[in-house]
Amino acid sequence: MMLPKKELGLLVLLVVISAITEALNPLFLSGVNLLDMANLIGLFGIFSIGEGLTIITGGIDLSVGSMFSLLGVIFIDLVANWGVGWPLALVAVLAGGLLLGAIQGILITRARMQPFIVTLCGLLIYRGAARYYTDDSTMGFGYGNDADTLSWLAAGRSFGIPHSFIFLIVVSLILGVVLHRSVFGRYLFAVGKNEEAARYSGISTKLVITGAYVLSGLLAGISTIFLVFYTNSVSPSTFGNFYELYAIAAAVLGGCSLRGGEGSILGIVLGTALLQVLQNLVNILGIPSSLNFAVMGTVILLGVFADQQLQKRRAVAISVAAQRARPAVT
Amino acid sequence: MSALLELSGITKTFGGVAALRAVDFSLAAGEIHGLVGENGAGKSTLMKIIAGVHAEYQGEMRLDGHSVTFASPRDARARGIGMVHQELSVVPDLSVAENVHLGAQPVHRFGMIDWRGMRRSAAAHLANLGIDVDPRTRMGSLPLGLQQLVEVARVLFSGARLIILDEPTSALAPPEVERLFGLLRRLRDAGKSIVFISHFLDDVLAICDRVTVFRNGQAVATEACAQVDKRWVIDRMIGTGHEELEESYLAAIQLHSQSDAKLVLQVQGLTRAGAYRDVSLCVRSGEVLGIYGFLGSGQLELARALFGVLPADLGQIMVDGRVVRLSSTTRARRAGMAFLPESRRLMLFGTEPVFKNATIAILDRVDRLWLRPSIERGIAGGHVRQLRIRPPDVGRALGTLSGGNQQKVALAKWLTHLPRVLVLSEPTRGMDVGAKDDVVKIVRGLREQGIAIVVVSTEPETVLSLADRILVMKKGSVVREFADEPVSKDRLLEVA
Repeated sequence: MMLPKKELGLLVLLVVISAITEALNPLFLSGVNLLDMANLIGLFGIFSIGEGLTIITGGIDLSVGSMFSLLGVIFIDLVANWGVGWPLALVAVLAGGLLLGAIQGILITRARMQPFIVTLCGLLIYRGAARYYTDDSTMGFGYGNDADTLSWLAAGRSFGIPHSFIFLIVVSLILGVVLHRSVFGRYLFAVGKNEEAARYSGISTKLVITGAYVLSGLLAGISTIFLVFYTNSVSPSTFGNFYELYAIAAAVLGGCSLRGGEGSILGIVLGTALLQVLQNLVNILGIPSSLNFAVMGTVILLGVFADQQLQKRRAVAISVAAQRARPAVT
Repeated sequence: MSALLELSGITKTFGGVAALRAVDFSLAAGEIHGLVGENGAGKSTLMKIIAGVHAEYQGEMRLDGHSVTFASPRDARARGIGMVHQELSVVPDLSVAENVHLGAQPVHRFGMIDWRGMRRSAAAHLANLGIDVDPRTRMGSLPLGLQQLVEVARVLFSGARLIILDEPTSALAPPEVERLFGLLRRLRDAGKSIVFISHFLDDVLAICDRVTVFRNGQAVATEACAQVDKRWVIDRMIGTGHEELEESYLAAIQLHSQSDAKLVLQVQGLTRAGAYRDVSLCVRSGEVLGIYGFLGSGQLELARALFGVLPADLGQIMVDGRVVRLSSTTRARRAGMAFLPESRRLMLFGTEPVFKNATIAILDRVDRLWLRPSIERGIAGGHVRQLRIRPPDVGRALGTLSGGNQQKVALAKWLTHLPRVLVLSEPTRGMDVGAKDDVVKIVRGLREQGIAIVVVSTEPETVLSLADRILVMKKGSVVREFADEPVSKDRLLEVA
């Protein structure tokens, strides 16, 4: 299969930036650094894919960062304080993500509220709930619980490769097939490109859009587990802060249009990787970490700008072709 | 009567095509003047010239005896010419007072809006016109008829002495029409001049002093309304000359209904507030039912109810004898309904290839869960050959096709798994003759296969060329059924 142009461009960009970083500091391609990065790409990639799905429908999910905090404190509380076995606690967290996503999806489609508003309120509510639930204090696992197996599953490594990265590959493959090879995936794009036309084609647009938010919630639930075992504790006021913005940035950098109807799983994963390499570049070059956000913002801006210019050229090409087609039938 | 406005020898061409040819028109002070004619006869072009929208034309316009040219609508407004469009230009979220003062709010020093003064002057102005509305009311909460009166008041308030009303009665119920006519008569008696453009000939003859009939870009007759009747107007509109008689549409078409075929679609007492009332109809297998009415008669909304886009408030719909609840498009599709809306944009994905457009409505039946693009391409390829879609390339972005071919792709969406009922809204609008013929052939072919077809249109020709039986809708109700009898365009216009 040939790589689509957009993804190919991203890949080239990724390679170029990696090469620059490597040239500036040979530590970049060291095994330790690469595996560290793979771990972070895994952590951020999983929920960025969920974010991408909502963006493809023409929506957005601002709530994922706060969901991590709320689901994270619930998970630790269940395991550390209530003595709930980890399989049950895991199921509770996944179900929680699913439920929150479903509620948001239903509010967006049935109550016809704007995705931005619904998920912004989600962001505020979940964060507030997490902080109230814990009295704003950091929660940790303590000693002697039975979550070691899960801890290994989430934060461990097999053949030296971080599990989060392996899991990202698995999720990407599954959702890649769902998005690009299933009827549901085609519906997601259809709804994002032209919701009216989708509706007039007899598609349950409400169900499809809700589905995107449910998936985003579920992936946020999964990410919660990985993130909790990455940090081993949750401070409810900062845990997952701004992560939804990382996800949006990765999706947009990866070719998702905020107007909806465009994007790919591969693109989102490459976007996530690119963001992490950039972060790494900032660290390795010794740029003050306070400039971190500024560097990322600039790169995303440039990337999206370049993409828009290409899009414009394509739209012109289409309209020119349409002009040519017209006299042919008269 | 002294002429307020006089136009002589007005000719207007669009890209070499004459929309108006040497039109003379005069409007007296204190006159209500009706303007009638078919779509494209030139009424709106003439009004746009008067209102300053079209600045380029040949001929002379005289206002109060002085030659004038308007470079823009603003120019025309400054000289006292106001227009009320069919789609009202009110701001629903502002109050009545704000709407009346739109664009000219009274201000205090420091540029703050003088709310109290605004309310007072609006109240006085409305009372003066006999319009009983509280100026603090939110515009959007008023019924359409009242909104229209307020809009007329706004145009007057901005200093108009000549008001052009475009299809003012199409969306109004009889009592609202009476109220509007009352206002218009008062304005006439106060010396204002009114141009009343309408398809509703009864309304024109009821309110106007004189009527001018347009046909093919010419003003063919002007007469005092007291001297003429509806028949006279229709004859002038369609033309009784030799040249027009040759055109097939004037010749009566004999309708043949299929009274023995199985009933497929039965609709009883369908009502949607503000759109249509108590509509009952049935369509048999292999029958094409045409529904004709002017814009705003409710037939477009009725078509949407049949596909679950705008569900009806009341009434019952049965398909093949089973009651179906069409509360969403998905349910409608599963119940065997299919719909082609009047705007292609509502139906198609311009940047997507032809084959994805052709299969989107049947994906769940073709592919169930997983996409199989080769099968999709095969299905689309079949449609492309059968419907002669050009260019015959299913991988091409849909937006690069011509309008007629896009319409064929839209139709193709419903042709893989044939629906029980196919509802077509304005299926041939804006198409050239060849593409129209193709669509007519496709619809005939579907009729042969036993589908019940409903064709909804505001163009008599569309209904006449396709239908076996015709319903005429007027202001939300079915007013006449034509079955097993000859029917012609003038008969349709007469009852609508």
